[in-house]
Amino acid sequence: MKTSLHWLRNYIDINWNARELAEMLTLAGLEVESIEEAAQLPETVVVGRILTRGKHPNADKLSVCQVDTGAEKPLQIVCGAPNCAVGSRIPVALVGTRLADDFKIKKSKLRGVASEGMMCSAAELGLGSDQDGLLQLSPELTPGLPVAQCLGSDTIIDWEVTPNRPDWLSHLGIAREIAALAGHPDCLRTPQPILRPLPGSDLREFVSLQVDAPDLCPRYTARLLRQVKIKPSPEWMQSALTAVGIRPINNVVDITNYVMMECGQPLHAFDCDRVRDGRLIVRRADEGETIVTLDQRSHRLTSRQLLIADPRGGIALAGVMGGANSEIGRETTSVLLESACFAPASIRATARQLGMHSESSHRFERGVDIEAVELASRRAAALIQELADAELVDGCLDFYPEPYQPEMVPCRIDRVNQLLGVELSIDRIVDYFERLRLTIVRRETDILSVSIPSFRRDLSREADLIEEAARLYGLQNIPARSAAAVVGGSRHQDAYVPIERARDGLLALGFQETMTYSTISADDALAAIGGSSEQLIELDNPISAESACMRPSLLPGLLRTVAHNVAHGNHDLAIFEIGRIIVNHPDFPEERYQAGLALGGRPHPERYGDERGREFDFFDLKGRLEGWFACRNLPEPDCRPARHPALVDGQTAEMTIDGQTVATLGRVRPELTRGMRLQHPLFVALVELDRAAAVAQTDKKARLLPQFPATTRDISMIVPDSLSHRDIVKAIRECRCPWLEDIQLFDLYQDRENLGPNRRSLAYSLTYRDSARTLTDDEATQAHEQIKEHLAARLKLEFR
Amino acid sequence: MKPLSEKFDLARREALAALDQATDSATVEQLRIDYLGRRGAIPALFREMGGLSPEQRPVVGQVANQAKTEIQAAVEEALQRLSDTATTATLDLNLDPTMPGRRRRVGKKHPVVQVMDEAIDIFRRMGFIVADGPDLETEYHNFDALNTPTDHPSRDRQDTFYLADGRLLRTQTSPVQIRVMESQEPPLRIVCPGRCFRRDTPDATHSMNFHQIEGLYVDRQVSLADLKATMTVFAHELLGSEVSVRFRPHFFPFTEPSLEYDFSCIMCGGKGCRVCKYSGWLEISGAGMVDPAVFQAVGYDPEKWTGYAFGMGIERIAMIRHAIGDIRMLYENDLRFLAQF
Ligand SMILES: [Zn+2]
Repeated sequence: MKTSLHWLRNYIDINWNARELAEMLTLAGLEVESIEEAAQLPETVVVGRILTRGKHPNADKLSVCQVDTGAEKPLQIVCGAPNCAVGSRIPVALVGTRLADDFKIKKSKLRGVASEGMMCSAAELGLGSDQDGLLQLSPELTPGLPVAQCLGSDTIIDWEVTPNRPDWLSHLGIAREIAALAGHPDCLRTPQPILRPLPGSDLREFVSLQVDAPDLCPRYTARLLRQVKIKPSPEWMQSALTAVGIRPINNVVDITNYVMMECGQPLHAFDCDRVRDGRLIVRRADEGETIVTLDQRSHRLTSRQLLIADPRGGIALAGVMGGANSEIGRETTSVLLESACFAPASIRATARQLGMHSESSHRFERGVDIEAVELASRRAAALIQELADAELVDGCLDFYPEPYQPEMVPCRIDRVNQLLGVELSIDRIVDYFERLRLTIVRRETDILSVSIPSFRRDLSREADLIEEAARLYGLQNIPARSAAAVVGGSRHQDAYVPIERARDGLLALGFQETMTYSTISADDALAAIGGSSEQLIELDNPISAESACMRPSLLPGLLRTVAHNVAHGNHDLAIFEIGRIIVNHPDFPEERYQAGLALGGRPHPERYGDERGREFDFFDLKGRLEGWFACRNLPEPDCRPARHPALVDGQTAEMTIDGQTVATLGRVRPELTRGMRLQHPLFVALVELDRAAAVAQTDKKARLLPQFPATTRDISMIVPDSLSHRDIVKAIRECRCPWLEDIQLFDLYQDRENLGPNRRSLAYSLTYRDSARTLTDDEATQAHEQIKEHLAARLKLEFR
Repeated sequence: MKPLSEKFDLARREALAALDQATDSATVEQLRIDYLGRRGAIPALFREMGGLSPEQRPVVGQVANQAKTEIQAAVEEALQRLSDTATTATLDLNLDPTMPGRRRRVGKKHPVVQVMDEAIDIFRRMGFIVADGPDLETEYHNFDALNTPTDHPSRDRQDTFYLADGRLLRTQTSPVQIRVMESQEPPLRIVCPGRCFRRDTPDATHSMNFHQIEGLYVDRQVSLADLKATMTVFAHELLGSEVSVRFRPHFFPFTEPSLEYDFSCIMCGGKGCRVCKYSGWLEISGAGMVDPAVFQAVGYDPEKWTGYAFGMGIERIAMIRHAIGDIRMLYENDLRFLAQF
């Protein structure tokens, strides 16, 4: 909502500059979008009077003028404008004036004739776009007067009006707010239109009104003006409208816009001669009915839309835009003036459905002041009478079956003070309400009953009144006072603690955190989970196919991050993301937290030789995950080979705890990184954080350190490749030897020549210890032999 | 002939001097045999003590024992010294300490997470705990229960992502507050951080997803003064005590009174600069006293309980703090960018 400071001054004296005014209203909840201060003219641009005008000896298009600028001697100025008539008052920029950063007026010679200063057009002074001729000033002005003092520079403030305050969508409404804040509600000057209807005329002879949809149109008024002369509106009105961003059209249309910007009531003017039989019908559109609006667009309507019609059909889309068939034109002589109140929801639906948002629909959508409908009509009629030399037909059709009944809202003084944390007296609160033009209908010691005027329909409850009291008291005056300390709940209920712990662990392991979008393409999603599209949660109204479904895995985001980095030369990567994933199950979508890790490139690119060339491999990632499990105090996970649609078979594993998959890890399939120009293998892990958090051990008990020495024995064996490390360890554990403390793999040997194909040699060191005494050599040997016998019986292997 | 005690003393001094000079362990061993061995000098002198008178014996014995102990200690010392020298000799004394170290990678939190964590930390110290809720929400929790009018533009398919079944991606974390209030009785002090979604075409300041942290405090006698105190403490804790906070009335459907709060611009200290659009203030976000209609929707008695709620965008604070001009950089994850924070 744009306001001009000049325009506002019609209704209230403003003793603040634009910045102060903006600050005051901002702190009262009316925020400023922008302030456009008109260019300040330098004091050395003064009124000049052209004394003489002569031809330039060397140039046809130039004149040589003597100009009185209030100085002792007239100045000689060479000028190219055609309208430098003798006697006219024009602005003169004196020598030394800086009109723009790089444009300073100097004494000069133009084609051999001396010129001391410059006579200016509006454009040259930054006052408009007119550059065709000199700016003509009022002939009463004294030469020498700085132009800035007579050609007041207007300031335009653009306000951000919140949807609850439609009363701020007009100059009068904002003036009313300023008056309330300033504490002088009485200093507001509202226009008092005086109508002079043609004696003996009667509106009813020409016009009739029928409202068939009173639910969508609670009030409708119509007035008629005849003998209207359509012409441009006066300069002051055109500049007022231009200042607030409305293009002047003709006097009648400009007046309807002017009154709308003045009091917030949108008006519409019909060419009455084009309204069949002068019969106005306010009704719902028929299904499929069409109308061509002022902008020459044709619309198919539904019965949800409200139409102003004559017996032939629609002549306006109520509250949104007039019809082309009843438009005011140059030849119009008879104007039917509509001022009405339409139901906001209906206007909003129409405007949205047809994609037509106008100053008018904007105001109807938010609700106009139903009580002010007739006043606005009167104001516009008076202006049309005056500025279009029109005759006003006596009378006004006013459909208003249910006049406004003010709401009575109670307001308890204690409640105001308690909710705001202040101690305001009842007198003070009454004063605030009265400044806002609310009427106190009953006053007791601790409670008020407040009557709400029709322009403040946003106030319907006590809480709303408390907000008004807070606004007028000033939020800046409310003390910042801390409440008694109440703990919000147990730390153990805190939803983010497990996530933060998980993150801390990954950071400690050297992974950099990343963050990607929750929405991805369905192709990426399916490539990552390999499932069917039923598992995806797809958006019904995505912006693009690239972000059409919710990520069912963090993998696509990680790959995107890897791709971006590799493309920018970052090849050594250890990254993670923690975030929500959503997988659709037949009955419900499951949202859960996942951590996605990616590892690729070199651990030590900063070193040299072999060390520099070493690449991260599967076991680097696995080891980091194991470290993460350990630092989170998770039970030791069981790790076994697995398959995953995004990972290479044979380089993929899953880690489970109590049979639940907690992590899947492996090497990314090449088809998923196609086109990335990866220089190193890429490994990823997906960790289910919710499951991990559920099994984290937070209160582990201390174990005594061993008191007696341990003994170690080694086993070396040749096994087929199909037998995994995990199988061997599991078989060793099966013996349940009470002394067996630890099993360490210490050697791996693969040699086709010596061992044959698909076989390998593994060597383990087993640690034996008793917690109560030192084991003898014999005891350790015996236990070890038992384990070997068990292995030999259980697994297909040979000892070396 | 010299007295026996002098002979002991002489042997001691000779042995110590020789051991001190020894440069290899064979010499030391030879010296040990020469002096302490069965046929060595010291045992030989001990054997001579048989001829002493009972009065002389304890006096000479003391000197004799001292000589033996000292030579033994000197032998140990010489062997240790020679072993250390041998070890040092095997070391690479040409190590170039200026060569690159084997660097341990450090991970850092994403800048958005850094701000989020700090905010959570500050609120936890004020007695708040974190509550979480789903990204997929019902229209009821995201809009209706928050007193949003049925035809409010924010519900538009232009502005909000919907699923075919009518559910939506939450546009704010406020529905978490509703869910907590539905399941718990007051008093409550929670913050709800999380991801939100709006159907904005991505540009320098808009992102389809972003993060918010919202707070809710419900108790008897909670007032606007409490809210101001909380937000002021938050501003000082997050950005420093020189930051001031400004509150302006505003409008939100779920609070009444509603306000917006601004922090004084950290770039210019409030004098006005490009970042704050020359206003000296940075709009941080909205807050207010919980609207009675919201309490009624979750079954709290608005006469008995009052509360405040606030919310703010995390990316915005991160962008201000680090002078990041384009929100998309936060989601691009260039490691050279992330490593800076
Ligand atoms: Zn600034």
